[in-house]
Amino acid sequence: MGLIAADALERQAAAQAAAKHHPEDTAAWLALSRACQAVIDEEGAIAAARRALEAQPDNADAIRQLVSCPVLTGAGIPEARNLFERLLSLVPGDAVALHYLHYFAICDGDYGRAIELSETLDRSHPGDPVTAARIARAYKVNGAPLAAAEHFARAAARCDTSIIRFLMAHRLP
Amino acid sequence: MKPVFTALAGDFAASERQSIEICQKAGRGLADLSHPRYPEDCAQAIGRIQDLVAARDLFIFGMGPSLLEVVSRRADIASMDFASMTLNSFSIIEEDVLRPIGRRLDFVCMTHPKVVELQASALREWLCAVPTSVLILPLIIREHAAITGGPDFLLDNPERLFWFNCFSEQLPPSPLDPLHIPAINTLICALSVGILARPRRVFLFGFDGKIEGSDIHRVGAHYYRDGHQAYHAPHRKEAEVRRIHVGALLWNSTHFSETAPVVVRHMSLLFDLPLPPIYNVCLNSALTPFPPAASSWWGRRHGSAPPRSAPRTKPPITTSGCP
Repeated sequence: MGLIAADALERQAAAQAAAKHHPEDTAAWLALSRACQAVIDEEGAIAAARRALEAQPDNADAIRQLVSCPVLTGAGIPEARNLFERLLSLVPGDAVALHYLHYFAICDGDYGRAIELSETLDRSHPGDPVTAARIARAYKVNGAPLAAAEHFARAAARCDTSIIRFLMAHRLP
Repeated sequence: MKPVFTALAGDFAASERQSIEICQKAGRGLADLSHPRYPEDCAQAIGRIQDLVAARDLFIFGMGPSLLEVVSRRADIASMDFASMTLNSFSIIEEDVLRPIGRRLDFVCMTHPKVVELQASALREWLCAVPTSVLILPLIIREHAAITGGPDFLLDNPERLFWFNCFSEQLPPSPLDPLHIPAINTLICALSVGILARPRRVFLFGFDGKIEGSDIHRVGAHYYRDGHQAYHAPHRKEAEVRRIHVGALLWNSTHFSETAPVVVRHMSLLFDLPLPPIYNVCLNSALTPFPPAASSWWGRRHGSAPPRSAPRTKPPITTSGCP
């Protein structure tokens, strides 16, 4: 029981073969990108996600997959920001785009937009304590401690929900 | 997560009660080391790092811009009795701080397989040259090494390795996963393992948590010796990347500062260990939960004014005065 499956390299090799045989198939490249991520092959994950996006430039899954790579490595920040904006225009309310655009807004010092993005996420995916905490943090760095405390209290209260109890009580894979 | 958010909402007493409720029963820590991902010798591994620290002070070195001052004053610490720990780009600390005063690192903490890969030859040399040294790593690197077959030193030296869990950015250590440290940054991992090593006190050096000054393009503003080959991320000069990095660094420091007090408290409660005083020997650090020891610490060693240290945020995680 681990984060990396014992046969992860074999799965990566199989995904590589499938993508090679079906180079126009977005799904095959996406599968390869994910298989590369599973073995922490970041370069391979990015390259395969780019091929998926080339095959279908407006495929939201392909954008989502590609942007999750350079952000994690920190290597493609400007490109990632543009792709997240594009993803949000293709899929309004997309949780991944809202999550990362909040982060970029914070880094820009645009706390108002950060709050707005996370409030949108909170409406589309309600009840998540982490989202409430992100809103709180944005208020905090924006010099609004009372609003921050209120949202942190909301985050704490949300920890009592059943899903969080489940996460805390059970071992995660 | 609840104790973290409760403290941030301002109710520190309730946060502490929640932590005790989660981590202890009848005053005893509930750490359960039988997690299926943990190595079988976890308890022994904890004993080994405690033996290595031997109740001395633990100095943890980071690579923020203020490391420059530490380098210039390294002679001040030469005669002190301490255990040493650093993060990822460890050879910088060895080259510029410790080897010039006749010392080597006791602990290195790394959190990404690519960093281990990049530093493999230096790590191999260090592990050979310092027979008591311990490399601290997340379990995912153990699993990565198991499927890729290397590097050798991750497979052949179980007694030289300390493994912790790290998959969520949010979850503090808990009874069923007591070695889980939130994936915020490498410092929180190193510090948490440091608490397990039962030091007398912990001193953080070179942890600015932000850039130095306002010129984001100045060499050395982001990290000590920006561009050194030991850094795993390439030195980026593009304005957009450096600007985002400034914000990201501060944001990361905020997240660390919010979470670290509860994480170290949980380590202490779960394993029935005293929580040592933790001092930040960096003036003007963005890492705010620990009392600043900078002017006092260096000043005392130069015979100047007495220490002046006070926690900058609630709750203080130490109650004793600065040494």
